[in-house]
Amino acid sequence: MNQPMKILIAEDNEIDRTLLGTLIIRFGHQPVLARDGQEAIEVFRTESPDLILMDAMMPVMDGFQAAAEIRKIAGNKWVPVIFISANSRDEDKIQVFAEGGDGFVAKPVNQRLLEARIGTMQRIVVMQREVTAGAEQLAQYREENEQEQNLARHLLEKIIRADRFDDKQIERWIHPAKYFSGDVIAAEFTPNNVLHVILADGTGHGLAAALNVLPVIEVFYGMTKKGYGVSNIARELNRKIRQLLPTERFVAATLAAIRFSDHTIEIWNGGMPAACYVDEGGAVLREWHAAHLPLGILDDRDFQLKTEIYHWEEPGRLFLYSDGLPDAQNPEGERFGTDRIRQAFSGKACEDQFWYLVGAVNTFLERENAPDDISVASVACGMGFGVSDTFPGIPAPAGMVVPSEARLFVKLCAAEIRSFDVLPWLISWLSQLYLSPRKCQELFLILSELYNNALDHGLLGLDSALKSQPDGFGLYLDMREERLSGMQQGVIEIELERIQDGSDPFLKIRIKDSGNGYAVEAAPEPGGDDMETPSGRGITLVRTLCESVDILAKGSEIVAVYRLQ
Amino acid sequence: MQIKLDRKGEVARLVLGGRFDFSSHREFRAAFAEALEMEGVREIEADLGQVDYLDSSALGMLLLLREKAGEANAKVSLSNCKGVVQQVIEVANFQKLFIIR
Repeated sequence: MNQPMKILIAEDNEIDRTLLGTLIIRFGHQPVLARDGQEAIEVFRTESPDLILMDAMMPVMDGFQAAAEIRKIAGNKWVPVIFISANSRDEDKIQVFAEGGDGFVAKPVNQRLLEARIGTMQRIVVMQREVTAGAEQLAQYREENEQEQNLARHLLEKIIRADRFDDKQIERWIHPAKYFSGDVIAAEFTPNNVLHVILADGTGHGLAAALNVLPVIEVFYGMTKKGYGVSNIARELNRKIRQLLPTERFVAATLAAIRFSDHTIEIWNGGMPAACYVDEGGAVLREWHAAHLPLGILDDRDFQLKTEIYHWEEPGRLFLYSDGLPDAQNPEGERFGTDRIRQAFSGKACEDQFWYLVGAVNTFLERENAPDDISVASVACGMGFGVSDTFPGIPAPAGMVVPSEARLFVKLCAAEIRSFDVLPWLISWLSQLYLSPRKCQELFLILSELYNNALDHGLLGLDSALKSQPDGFGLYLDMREERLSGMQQGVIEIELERIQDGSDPFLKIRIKDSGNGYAVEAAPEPGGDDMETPSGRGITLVRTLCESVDILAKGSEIVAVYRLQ
Repeated sequence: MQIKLDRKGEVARLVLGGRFDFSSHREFRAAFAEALEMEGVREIEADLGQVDYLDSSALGMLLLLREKAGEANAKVSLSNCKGVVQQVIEVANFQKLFIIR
């Protein structure tokens, strides 16, 4: 049967008290006795009984008062009180229950009835104890869960360096769900001043969601800082997520590369709502629908790298958002939908579009939290040529000596040119020569310029003049895409050599392509007149930064010498 | 979420209804485990016609189904996708992974 209970008997009549005590022992429980209401309270305090048999009429303090006091002392713990009284008319019983009694037994006490009542009360007490224990445990779990959520948020904020990025060009807004659901927005410049932005949405909620996206952010920053392109970053992210996370977890993401020097936007979209470029009047000029599966699903062989590039000819804004935005529901259950998104910026000036959208969502939602994070990022795309940012090169530790003679040679064939990101690879080699950030950036610019010329003009035979024509840029990009994928033969050789001339260190850069040569000097790039910005273009830039530039073999080989100190 | 399991020849069909989200996890796994245990099943069809809500955890569960079905040499198809369900499947490009009926 059940465990023995400790039962408090409060009864002023000595004979009745003793009798009840004996009965309780016979029922298998342990009695503690009190002679009146006051004593009952004291005994309750010291003995903590599980159940009370209380005589309604007692001197000093009656049963009802005592019961009320005892309830206060007991607090959350429920201790049933069975009143015993000779008065057993209906009104008396009603009074017992009105005063908070849990049971009533008439005097003279019927032994079996009392036993049955006590049995019932015991069952209820056991249930109540279980429920309370359950509730306490639940409260504890909830607290632990909240702590974990806070940790996740903290970690994520540190990793996104949300505090760091106060750029006026990028606006971002995350309206978090009740349980953080894993949306992240991060942005960083490559050494070549290309702005990379990622908006990622991991499956799940809470800590699980944060865990999904942490590896994404680290890889994004690492590769961007090294100068990798968006396709390669997407592929690496896919690999990493697939490797780390279980089958049912994936990360939808939009990766964008915005080149202010070229006015191009390149996007890889896996499973996210369409990104869009909106002009100054709020009209959508271009959309990038999800062409790919989210990250972490396909294995490396099947992964698709293809991005879509757009060249902007008028100022505007790029908008990226997660599915929380169109899916957001108002109290009536209506979806915000894509139409309202478009409406929000229609007719609005560029500076205002983002905040109109945010305002429209807040108004629509009325109440506090949606079930899914709502995230929006927006990048202003003007007609200027971008702001220079310093490349964080590695400063030389004091007294560090590097080899005065060092050489790197790499030869790329057609397939390698298509898929190997050689520039970050070169830069990582260079960074081991302990150059200043400024130097590193200049070298990156020089190498990009020379390499891209060798590829675009030397091997693919494209003409830069096309870019300056109306709609020519789009055509240029399409032709480039076509020729690059169709290229069967083609070789680019790159040689970097650190040489010492007396006490002056130099880097000799040689790039050779297997083409027939092209008019190097006649390759003007848009914005080439603007000598003030380091992202000014063409061979002119290279000449400005280098000690010397020699064009050999009708343009298919260029040797530049750059002063390292 | 309600799940009914029936069989048409080599196809075991899971007819799903209601909200397909993270709380449907256990039932869904139990249902497809049962479907995969049937003799001679070559295809599992998930009929989404009565599903009114589908989120990313549901997509994750479909991926799990695909993996388990693959181990049992069975294909997976999704049928009767409409409205919001169809939109979610399309944006995620799941037609690249599943047969759509």
